[in-house]
Amino acid sequence: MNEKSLSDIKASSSAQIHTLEAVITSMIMVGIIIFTVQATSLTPLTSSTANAHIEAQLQTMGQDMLSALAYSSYGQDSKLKEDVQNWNGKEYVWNGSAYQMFASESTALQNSSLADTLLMVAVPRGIAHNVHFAWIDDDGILRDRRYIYNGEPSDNAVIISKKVLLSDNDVGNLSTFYASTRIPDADISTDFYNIVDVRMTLWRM
Amino acid sequence: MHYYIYTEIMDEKGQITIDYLISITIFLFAVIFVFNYTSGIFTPFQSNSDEVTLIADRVSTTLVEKRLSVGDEGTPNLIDESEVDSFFTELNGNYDTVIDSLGMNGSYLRYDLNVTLENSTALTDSAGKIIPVGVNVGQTKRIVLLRDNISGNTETLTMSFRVW
Repeated sequence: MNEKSLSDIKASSSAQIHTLEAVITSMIMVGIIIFTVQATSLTPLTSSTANAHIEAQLQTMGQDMLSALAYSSYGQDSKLKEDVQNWNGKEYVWNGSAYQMFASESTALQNSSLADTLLMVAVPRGIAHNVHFAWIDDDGILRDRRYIYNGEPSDNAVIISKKVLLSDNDVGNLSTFYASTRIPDADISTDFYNIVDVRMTLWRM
Repeated sequence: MHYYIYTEIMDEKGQITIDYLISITIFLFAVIFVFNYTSGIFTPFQSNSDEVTLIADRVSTTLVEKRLSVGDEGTPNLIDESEVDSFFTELNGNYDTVIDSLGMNGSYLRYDLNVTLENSTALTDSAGKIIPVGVNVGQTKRIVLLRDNISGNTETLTMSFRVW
């Protein structure tokens, strides 16, 4: 009985099936090898938006932008300082043609050198950007508020910051400035007001 | 009868799991080998601009923060207008001398340079060789503050350095 069943199998035509299986299997294996070789040649330096060179370039650009804005000629206030002084505590977003107030769409951002520079450098190149103002509050806690906000940055974003020193006479009316920006006078007894850290986040969309 | 034979064969193939175990082990070893070994094989033959990008970075730093710089410590990218004008004239006139002075000459390899200066609307100045088609180009863009020596007025410009 057993003998018969074995010979039955040997005589059967299933050898063709085995050959077909082998062909399919080898095709799958070759496909996997090709896929793996293609996939693993992705190195940290492969061209993509996550490329290290792009991050370095964004870092350089951001540093240059803030350095240029922080330049003060003949003892005048720098453009960056003027932007902090003129800030009304509101958050602005890029709407495709201008920076508009987040809370009221009809109000555009006026007289901002930061916005002008970003408009010239970042917008034409498709570089997304956020600008935050950060300072130490009365309780010694680091606070930051959005100045220009365009969403959550990607994993490959870079942050560049520049500090701005504010004196009491830079600010003008202390209580009005505090009421709008929430930046407190760090030392009431002296002319020192506070140090504002301008933080720019840049990333590729 | 037929049915009986069938079940008997099925019983004998209980050991197929061992075959499967061996083959999957070999297969996994093969996958690990491919991941470990082949990942670096093709990388050197792919086109990339790593080297030229680094050279462009270095050239841009030398030029912006040293040669053309006004020397302001707080603003390294503040550059002098007359220096910039003479640099562009020299790069167009004595191209090879400038390349040598930037250290872009090697014993068997020379790099080429193209520098442009643009404001928010248009190209204001350019010098160097024209970029050929089909080469790996390394590029670094610097945002510079150009200062007019006489009036002291400043203008924000984009300076691009391309090396190949």
